[in-house]
Amino acid sequence: MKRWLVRVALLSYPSSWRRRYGGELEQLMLDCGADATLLGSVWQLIAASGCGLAERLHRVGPRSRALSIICVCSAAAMVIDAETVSATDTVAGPVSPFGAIWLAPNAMLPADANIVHAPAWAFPASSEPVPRKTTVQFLPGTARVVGVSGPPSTIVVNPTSGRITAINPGA
Amino acid sequence: MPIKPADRGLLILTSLAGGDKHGYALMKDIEEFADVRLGPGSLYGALVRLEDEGLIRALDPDERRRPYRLTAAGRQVLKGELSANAKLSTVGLGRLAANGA
Repeated sequence: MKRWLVRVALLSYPSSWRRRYGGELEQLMLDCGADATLLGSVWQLIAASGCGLAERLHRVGPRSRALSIICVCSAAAMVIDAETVSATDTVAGPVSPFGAIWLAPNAMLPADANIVHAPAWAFPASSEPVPRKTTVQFLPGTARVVGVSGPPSTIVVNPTSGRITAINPGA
Repeated sequence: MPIKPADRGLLILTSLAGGDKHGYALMKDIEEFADVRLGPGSLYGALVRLEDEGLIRALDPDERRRPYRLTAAGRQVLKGELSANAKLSTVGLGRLAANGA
């Protein structure tokens, strides 16, 4: 195990802790690394970093610790929420520069939707439920369809605006 | 079953009851008598707590390896814990034997 790798792993410990114990722990990890496998060494580095973070958390007061845990849980919830589209969201979700659209299940048509017929192709071509979110990339001038969770549906996309204009049950 | 922090302390105190040791020697000794492998981070987490509680003390380092020694308070605590565990073992094993296990 390389000394610099160990030192990077130990950066997770508070600086005061490192001043007092860092040298010993560094030497111990090098001693252990001498007779460990590569995987074992990598795991030891990760575990040591985790212990360092735990040490930092241990040093803050109980109120700050609770606040940190709440912040982490809230951030995780926000990430999950960003990945989840509400069932009542309108059809025209975020559109990337490349024309990918994420759909919500049971998405509702916008009030001013126009029905556009004859999609280029349908996806999926089976009666199996499709993944909850499906993205499709479309090219200007071409209408493509994409599946949503539940029975297969035909979604029609306006090739100019990129907005979805119809969702018709059935493949 | 994961080793609880309190168990780690007991293992370290038991190991030091046999003489001063630095971290690597502690790990090896614990692995030998208890068949438990403590990681370096876990070991040092427990060592720091035990030192803060006055149950062990650090000696002068030998190169970059610092040995630790059991204090009188540590000896007392270890004796108490092991006696309680021994009593529990005796009662538990006795009841198992009595009920045909």
